[in-house]
Amino acid sequence: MKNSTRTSGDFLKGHKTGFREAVTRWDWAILIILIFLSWLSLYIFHPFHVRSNCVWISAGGKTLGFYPLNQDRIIKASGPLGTTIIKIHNGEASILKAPCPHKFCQKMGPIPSHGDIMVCIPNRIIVEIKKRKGRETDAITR
Amino acid sequence: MLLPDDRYSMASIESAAHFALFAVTAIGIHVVESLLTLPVPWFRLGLAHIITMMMLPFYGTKFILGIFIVRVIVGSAIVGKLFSPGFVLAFGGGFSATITMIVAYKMTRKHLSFWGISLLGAWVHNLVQVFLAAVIIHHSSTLILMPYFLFFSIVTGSINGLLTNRIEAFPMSQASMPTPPRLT
Repeated sequence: MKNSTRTSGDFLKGHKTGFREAVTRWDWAILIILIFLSWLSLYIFHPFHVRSNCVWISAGGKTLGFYPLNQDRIIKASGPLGTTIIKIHNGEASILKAPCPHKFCQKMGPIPSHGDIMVCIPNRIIVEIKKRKGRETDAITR
Repeated sequence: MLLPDDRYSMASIESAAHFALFAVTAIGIHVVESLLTLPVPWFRLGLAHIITMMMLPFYGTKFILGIFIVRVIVGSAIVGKLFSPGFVLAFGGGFSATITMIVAYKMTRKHLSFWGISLLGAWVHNLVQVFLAAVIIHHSSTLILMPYFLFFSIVTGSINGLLTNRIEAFPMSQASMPTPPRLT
């Protein structure tokens, strides 16, 4: 009976017990490669190198328009609750006045850089800073 | 998958018992781990992957993937997250991580310890998960979180892998247990 049964001791003959014996140089290689790739992803996915110059405003799920960040202006966007007033000034967008009850969207601004977003859910307004190219071709989408 | 042609032979009963044993252990770890509170939401250690790695020397691909699927479905049902967005993330990430670890073990059997395998699995898990999150919420802003998740995955992967190195080395080499039957 004993001859017919393989023991797992035989099966795992290659495995070593301690840290020093078990870990191989390929483990260290994989560790270093993965740390390098993670560090690389810091540059690939972080949008700090993206310069976008447009404010995209969506009202009720439809694009109201793109507005350049460097021109001061005041935009009125109408939603189900009333008119939200959006101000672009000094390269920053902010919501001046909103008809919604809690005014969270007013406290979210002003937003200066790419990817920043202000949302008013009751009035269905989205203000986002992005590039003009289109909705899907965001600079960090690959 | 579970029952081969010789339906009620000793080997098939034994394999079903092994499947149940590993599934229950993995589900238990999965559920207990979700009770752990970590400072940041969505961060988990992924301790259930230790079970996956412990099965790598003994069982085939289908068996390990089957354990994974049962573990995720039953585990999230117990926790109460079945078919939620978080479940989709856990399933996609875990599936890709399991496949990565199986392939890594088969390709580099002599050269990698469980630490390296675990690192690869954890890294791919987080990579796929963050991409899936971007797909689910239709916005690419989740990708900004990618570097943090990837660095954290190296830490958790190291914890899991070094634990598995210890677990796999210690009791198996000393006790003379009968080897479980090899399943496809």
